[in-house]
Amino acid sequence: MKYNPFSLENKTVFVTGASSGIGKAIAIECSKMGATLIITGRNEERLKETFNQLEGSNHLQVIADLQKEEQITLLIEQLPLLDGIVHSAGIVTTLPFQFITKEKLEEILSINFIKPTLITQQIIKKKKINSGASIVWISSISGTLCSFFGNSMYSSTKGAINGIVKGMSLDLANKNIRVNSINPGQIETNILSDGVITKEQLHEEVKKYPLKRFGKPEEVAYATIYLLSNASAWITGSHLLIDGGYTLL
Amino acid sequence: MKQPQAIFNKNIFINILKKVKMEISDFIKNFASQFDDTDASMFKAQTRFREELEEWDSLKALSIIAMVDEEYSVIIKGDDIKNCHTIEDLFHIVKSRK
Repeated sequence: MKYNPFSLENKTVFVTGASSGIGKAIAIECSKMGATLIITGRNEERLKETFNQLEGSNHLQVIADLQKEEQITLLIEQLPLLDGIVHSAGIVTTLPFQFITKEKLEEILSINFIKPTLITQQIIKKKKINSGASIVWISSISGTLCSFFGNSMYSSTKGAINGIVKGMSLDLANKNIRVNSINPGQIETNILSDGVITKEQLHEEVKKYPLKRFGKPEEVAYATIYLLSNASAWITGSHLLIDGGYTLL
Repeated sequence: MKQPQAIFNKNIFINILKKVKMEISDFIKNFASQFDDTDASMFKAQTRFREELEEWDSLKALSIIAMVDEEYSVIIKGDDIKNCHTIEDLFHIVKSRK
């Protein structure tokens, strides 16, 4: 049986933050659905690890620090015509509000929101994106439906993402480009591995999830596949919640 | 005209000295300033902060980590706090990493 409304065959998808966590899972799962991938990340070794796990051929890996303008320019020059963009690059900085600084706020806002926004703008302006394309932002429940202690800066970046999804989707609708976000709860990745949050605290946090576990990176990837595929052709400006029931309570 | 300049330099010198020589009394003061509802008399070198202070919670732990980074330029982790019993224990960890 060949019926598959979620197929990504003949689609070229650009994924940022592909060297680890959610971005890595998205790249691998999309390749299994037939997509051709262009993946980018900062860490050469880890990006290669992702690249080697991609199924199929004709994929491209570009090591780039998306905070550096000249590297963004080089990256965009190398991009082929895209059918999908997935913004998965992001950082977490855990700091109680009274300790936040201009530098740290600007850094996280730039990585999580401003640079991905400007990269998308350049891709569209340089007409490197097809009609019918889909843009997916990895947002969060934090900053859109709730927040967490010490997470105000991170929350602000994700709130900004949710906002621009609304505006972008409206402005790009006449090009038949769709823009949506996925808003996950806590996913099992290394993003909190700096040790500010202890394993015991994470263990307590798990108990707050009605489905009794954190999400898996693949589970965010499956939602991304849906939003990239033609199955979601009439969905734009939406925020897909994947949180194991966390925000129900 | 030169007098104010000299005083200015002296203050800078005292501040540098303070930074190099980490005092437990300053550390306790910095520790205490993360709390809002706990009486100042509760904060002593031997205070078992995780057990004795009702106000202690995970957000306080985050604040202490941030305070140590800001005041002493030392990175401590959640586990460091978990492994300490008293304020003095934490003081020694921070001091050893300066």
